Amino acid sequence: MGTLLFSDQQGMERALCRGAGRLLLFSLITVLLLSAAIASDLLFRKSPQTQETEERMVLFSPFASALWTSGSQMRHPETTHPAVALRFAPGLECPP
Amino acid sequence: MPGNHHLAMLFWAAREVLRVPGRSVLLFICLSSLVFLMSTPLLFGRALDETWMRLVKGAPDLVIRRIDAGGWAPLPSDESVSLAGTVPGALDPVARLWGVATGPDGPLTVVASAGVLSEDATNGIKPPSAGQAIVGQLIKRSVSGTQLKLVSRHQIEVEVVGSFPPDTHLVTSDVVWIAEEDARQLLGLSPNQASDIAIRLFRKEEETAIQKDLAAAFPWPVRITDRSTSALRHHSLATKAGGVGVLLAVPALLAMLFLITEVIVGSRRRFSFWVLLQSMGWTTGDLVRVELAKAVIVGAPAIVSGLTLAHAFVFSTRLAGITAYLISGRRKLPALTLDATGALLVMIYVTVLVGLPYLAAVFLTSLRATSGDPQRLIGSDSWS
Repeated sequence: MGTLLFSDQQGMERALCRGAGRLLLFSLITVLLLSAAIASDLLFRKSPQTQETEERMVLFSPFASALWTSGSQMRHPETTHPAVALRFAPGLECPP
Repeated sequence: MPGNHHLAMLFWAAREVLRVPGRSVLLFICLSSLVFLMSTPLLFGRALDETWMRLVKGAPDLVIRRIDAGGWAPLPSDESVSLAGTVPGALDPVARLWGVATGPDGPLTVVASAGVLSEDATNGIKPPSAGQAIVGQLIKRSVSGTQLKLVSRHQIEVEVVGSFPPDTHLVTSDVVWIAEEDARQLLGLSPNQASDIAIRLFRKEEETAIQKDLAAAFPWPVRITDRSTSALRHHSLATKAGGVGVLLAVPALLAMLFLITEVIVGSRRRFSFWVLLQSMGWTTGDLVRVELAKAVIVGAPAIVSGLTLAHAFVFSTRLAGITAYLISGRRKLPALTLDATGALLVMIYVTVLVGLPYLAAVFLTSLRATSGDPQRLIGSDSWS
């Protein structure tokens, strides 16, 4: 009887710790797997050949990226006109 | 054995985490979203800066453009090339032919510079013949069929025969490459006219100083644009994105730390529990270690999840286009390939910025709460 009770207690303790063990394992595996995924992506994400192609393609639009719309001054800063100063307060050295 | 003692304490902490699953899940979500919100703009800013700085290394150092009272004016290409070549320090002047035209979905950039775009530069892409066009991915999507109508000074219609490599969205998304004769007809330029002159410098440090000499060498007014200004513009955009992200995240971090402190110190039931454990022989050190273990069990996967999500949103080519649109407020690109140089440093920075105050808050509040007089802890129990 005493042996049975002892084994039941052990079984109960094991059952109580099962969830905790799973949580610890989940936590550890999540951290390791995600860190490994990030590290591998950082190491092998882009081939030098792709970079070379991109670097050559920049000759098509050398001074601004396509994040800005074509025709805007941000996309083509070369087209910005110094313009004529129409300021009412001459001497303020900033473009209008 | 000390090892068994620590393992048992870890299991105890995990069981305590499971005892309040709702609170643990909420803490996980709070931490991971905070890390995501903070690291996404920082990673994007850094990546955009790194990518553009690498790309503009291949660009010309200066571009000279003729201007008049009405705006820019075409310049005589042969004469301009020879005039630019007379200035000491200015190398390889090349006449460029490009402009802006209206396409099916709005304005786009038309280029046709045989001098600038040698076969080597285009990496095996065959230059378009007359009546043909090679287009960026944004234009490719907006064209129905293969005919592309372009309108500028005149209107032309060209056949789309190819597209730029998909990894070059940041540079070529809205670019159309056409033959020189088509470009001249479209932009209204005669055979000896060019849009501007691109030059390289013998010494990059002379970028600002040489501009006066170059301007004086031309008999008409010119505007000179340098490469550093372009790099600075992208750097400002990137810095602004990162700065706004941190500014928004810091109040959220403070609010979260306040909540953690309140949860640990403010709960009377926790005091009763600690008194019970102390009466069973637990030391203050044990209690603090359990609280720290609980914080790590929830916090470590939450921080790594937030970082992974941010990494995916910045460096996955499809998602990066959306992220760039949301952060920069500029155009939505179909995809974006960004450099990951320095991303690890940003991730370590965010981990320390969030993780350290989080652990410090848990450590200090639990230490303060458990190291007092046990009588005070017993007295604080609502049943006594």
